[in-house]
Amino acid sequence: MKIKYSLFTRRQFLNGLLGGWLGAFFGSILYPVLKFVYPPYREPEKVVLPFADYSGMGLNSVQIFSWGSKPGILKKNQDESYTAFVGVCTHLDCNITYISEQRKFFCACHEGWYNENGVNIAGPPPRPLRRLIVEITGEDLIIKKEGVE
Amino acid sequence: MRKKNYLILLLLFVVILLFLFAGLSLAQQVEQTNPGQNTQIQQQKDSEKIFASFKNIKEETGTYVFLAWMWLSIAVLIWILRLKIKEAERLYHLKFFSPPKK
Amino acid sequence: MDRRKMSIRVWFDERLGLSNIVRFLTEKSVPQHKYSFWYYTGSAILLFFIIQVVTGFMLICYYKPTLDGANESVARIITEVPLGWVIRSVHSWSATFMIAFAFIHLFGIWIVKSYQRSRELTWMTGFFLLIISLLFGFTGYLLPWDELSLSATKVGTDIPRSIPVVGAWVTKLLRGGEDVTSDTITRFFGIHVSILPVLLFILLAIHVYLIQRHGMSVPLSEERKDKEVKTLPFWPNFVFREMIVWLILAGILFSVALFFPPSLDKKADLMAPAPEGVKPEWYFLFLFQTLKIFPAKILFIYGDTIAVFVILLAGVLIFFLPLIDNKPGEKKGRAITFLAYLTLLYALLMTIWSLL
Repeated sequence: MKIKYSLFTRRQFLNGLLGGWLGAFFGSILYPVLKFVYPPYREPEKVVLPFADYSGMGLNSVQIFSWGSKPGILKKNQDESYTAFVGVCTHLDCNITYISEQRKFFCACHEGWYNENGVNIAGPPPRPLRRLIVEITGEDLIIKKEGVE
Repeated sequence: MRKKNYLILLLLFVVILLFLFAGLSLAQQVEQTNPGQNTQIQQQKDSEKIFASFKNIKEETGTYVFLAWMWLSIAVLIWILRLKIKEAERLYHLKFFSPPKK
Repeated sequence: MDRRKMSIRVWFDERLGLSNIVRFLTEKSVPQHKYSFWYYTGSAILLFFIIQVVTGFMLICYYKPTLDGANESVARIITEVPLGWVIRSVHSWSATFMIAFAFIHLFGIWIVKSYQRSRELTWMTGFFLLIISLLFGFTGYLLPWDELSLSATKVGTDIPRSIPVVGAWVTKLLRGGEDVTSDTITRFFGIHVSILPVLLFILLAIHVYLIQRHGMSVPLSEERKDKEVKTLPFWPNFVFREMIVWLILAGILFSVALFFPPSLDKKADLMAPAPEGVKPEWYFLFLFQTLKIFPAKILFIYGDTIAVFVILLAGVLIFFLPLIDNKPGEKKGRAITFLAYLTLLYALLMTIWSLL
């Protein structure tokens, strides 16, 4: 369909082309800049620790290990089994603590409570604590994300 | 500018660039294969040097694509700017920008 | 649509008065003659400085200016951070290009004698800008804290010591003590990212203001011609041409930076002996060689002291060049132009000699 008049002048077209291409040029430079400034946060797939450091745990007690840059909580349960959680509150990422007398995890920032299985029971936390899988093979204590070989 | 002059300028620019790259890569080569440098200390130091390089093939190809896109953009932008310069010159000779004479 | 845009422009203009600046830029004229391309050298320096600031901001995100952290953080930037080596390479090469163009600009102005009559202060502020650029390069060179940069800094900060009376004081101020230590790296980092940028902005503002006030100068040989010098309006004609120059320079910079990234030597050891082949960055090589050719002692004065004095004297003479060159058209003026070529040749020869 041919229109009788031009939608824009030659000057507008040229200016638009210049501005647009300059924008694309700087946009393409912006991408590497952003990639540099936002480094990818790499969470470890699994963590291998010497079991000897954790063998002396009493029942119903916890010990902290490093899960990337976050704390991980290794808990020895009443039935001598081990559970591992990512030790940050699901509300706003504060580090949580375990109160063994009450058998509850507590987040001091906004008074969030989790039971001994990590399920959120009181306060603002919206979800239970993230679980990690624990494996003990000989001298190694392997803690890994769910679904990792 | 006449087409011939423009082509000569472009050719000159490419030649200078090639010289620059050739000179730099030659300097790199000389530095790496210079016999005076192959003392034990120097070899040890070279092995402790950290060289900047691409981490994977995706990064490498991405960089070459970016370079090609960059030079293409520069060529297009220069073409557009030359058109705008011609227009600005034309308007200047018409005294379009001067204040109106009373 | 246009009317709406117009009212936004009017809104800002009522409050900021920017239309005065825009009108000034359209009325400012740039002479067109055989040597016009030299006019591009000044803004080229600005382009590279802007690139330095942007890449510098990015590098600051990861660099740690401490004894333990410096080398490791640079290694991390090169190996772990995505495209870190590219940003570091651009920063390093842009420094080279900026200082190269600063020298080209200086020699261009010297040979064409743009510093005459009322433009003396422009030259003097420009001279300080060059010194600041060299200091940027010097302080930045230490920051990766690898063997070569530590040795170069030790030598560089030792040179002022040969000046009698104040020398030792200057060295102690630069180093933060008698020796190069972790205090030196912190001090150099502070100088590199805050003191020097502030000084540069102030001097650059004065320099640019003076250029606008006095206009672009025309070489004597062109002025002597009978016909009137053709001019171009700064905006938009000259600015579009400048954009083209900037695009090409930026393209060359990125291409060189991507193909020839700098490496990182191993971490500096304060107790280790000086490595072989210690030399400063290329822009100091001619000074380095000048120091080397002086004998250890002349009569009863240390060779170093005399060398430093000679260099300082040369610096002072160059600083006062507009006042010295008061008869540009005559023999004295021609001799000073010849001196420019001689200085350039000397610097080039000394640089090449130091590399052999």
